[in-house]
Amino acid sequence: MKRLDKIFVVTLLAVLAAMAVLPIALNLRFIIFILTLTNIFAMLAVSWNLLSGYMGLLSLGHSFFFAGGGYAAAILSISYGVPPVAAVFLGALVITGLGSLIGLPSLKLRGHFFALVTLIIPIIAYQVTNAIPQLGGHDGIFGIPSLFQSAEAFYLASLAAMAGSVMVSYLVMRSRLGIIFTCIKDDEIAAKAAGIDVPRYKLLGLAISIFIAGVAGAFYAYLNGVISPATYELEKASLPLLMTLLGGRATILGPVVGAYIIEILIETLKIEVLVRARLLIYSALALLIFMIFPSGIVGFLRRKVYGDTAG
Amino acid sequence: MEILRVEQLIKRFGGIVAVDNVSFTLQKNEILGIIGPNGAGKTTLFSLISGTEKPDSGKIYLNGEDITNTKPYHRALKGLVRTFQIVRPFKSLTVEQNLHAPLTVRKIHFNQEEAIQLLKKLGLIQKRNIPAAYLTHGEMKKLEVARGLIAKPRILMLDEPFGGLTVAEIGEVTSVLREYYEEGGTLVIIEHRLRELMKLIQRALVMDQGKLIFEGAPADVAKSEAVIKAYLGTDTVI
Repeated sequence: MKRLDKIFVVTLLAVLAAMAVLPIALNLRFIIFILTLTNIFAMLAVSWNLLSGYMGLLSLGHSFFFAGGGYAAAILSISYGVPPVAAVFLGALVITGLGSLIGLPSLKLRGHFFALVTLIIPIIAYQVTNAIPQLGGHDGIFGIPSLFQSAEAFYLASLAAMAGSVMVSYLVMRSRLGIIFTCIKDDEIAAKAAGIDVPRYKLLGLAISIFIAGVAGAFYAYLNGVISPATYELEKASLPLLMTLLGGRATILGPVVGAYIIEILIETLKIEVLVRARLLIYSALALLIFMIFPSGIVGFLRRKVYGDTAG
Repeated sequence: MEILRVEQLIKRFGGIVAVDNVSFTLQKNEILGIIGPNGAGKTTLFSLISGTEKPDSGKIYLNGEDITNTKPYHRALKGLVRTFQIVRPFKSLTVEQNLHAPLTVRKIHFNQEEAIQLLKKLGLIQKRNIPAAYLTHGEMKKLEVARGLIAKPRILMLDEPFGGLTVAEIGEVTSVLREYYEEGGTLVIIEHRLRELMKLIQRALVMDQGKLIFEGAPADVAKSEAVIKAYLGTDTVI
């Protein structure tokens, strides 16, 4: 490992340790809630980045996988008495199966066509969920038991899950799969000519991405104690996209950096005076940042540290 | 020993017959050249053989196995590897990673020393650690040849490998292709740079308007009236 990389890893671990200790030691209860939420959205952004950043399959419907994970975990907990921690992973597995099945035909599509199909999926899911009483209809599912007794334990679990998702993303991209995913993103025809079974690996990438989004969605449902069709909305679908583009597409830490910045921005703009102009300010800031950092903040920093040719 | 057999391949695009009843065989450790004017159907023939396009009719056999309905990746894993007329490098990957990719897919150990030697021969060693997106067109062409060779294919099909290269670069590519041939490799090359191609190949196929109009020794290509009429358009000899 290069000296620069060692410094980077040590710094990262120190930041993670500080994030685990400081909010709890200082008893910042509101901040703990916001940070828990941020960790959940960071996970969602990491999942989006795997599929859309690294594989080049632009998903505009990640809210379906996110909400689906929440619904599946809630039903498993309430209707089948599955312990919450197990329900998080089982729920994520259920939506991975369902999402892969629905996504399978769309994997034959490329570029904008794939994006359009993924945009439609949450819209259909919204209507279907509304129409099914067992899913709580328009009001959703209430009374989801808490994942942990204390907010602090929930926060630490969300931090661990977020760090885990980053680690999964890192390991995938450093493995044989990482090279295969990059080949598919760069040129599908050349990838096939190089011997890559493109549909198979696209499906694998989609499944990994959905699983992480599903875990994030389950955490979200447990945090709020409720999951409703509103979770499918376009804002939730666009959040991971904005977070990743801001932090740095196809970078390991970019989605997390972007999630923290955007969540802080959202919470700050909830100050009453700014609420009305929230979307305007939010969009203008996003536009400004994209103009300054077209490859995202982490992409920009990586180029500064490793030079222009950093891959 | 026959390694590839193409039987009565036909491919239509609407009303145009791009490949019209083409049949030929390829022997192991042979260098076959395919020439013809633009639009003759050479690249479509490559696409049919590599599986990128499906034929309307006809059969393709690799080592006696019917591969007509198999997928492109399957043919590549069987050792039928192609390059493209319009370069298709994996732009986000470095030059060295581009060589790593075909081996990774095949779960073959990446021999870095071998890759370095190949890059040296092709004049790409200085660019080894930079993303392929930063290469010039000629360098990308050479990278495609290297990517094709690294997996030691049974048959390497090259679509205009000399296109856009300088004379020196053509020399580098020719040299590594000869080396591959001398180690038992089999090559099929589409090329418009006839002078350079004719020095390399043992047999030539000439296509025009989807049809195979000549098959024989390179020295006889220029003597064929059909070739002169269809390909050269005048009575000029090569």
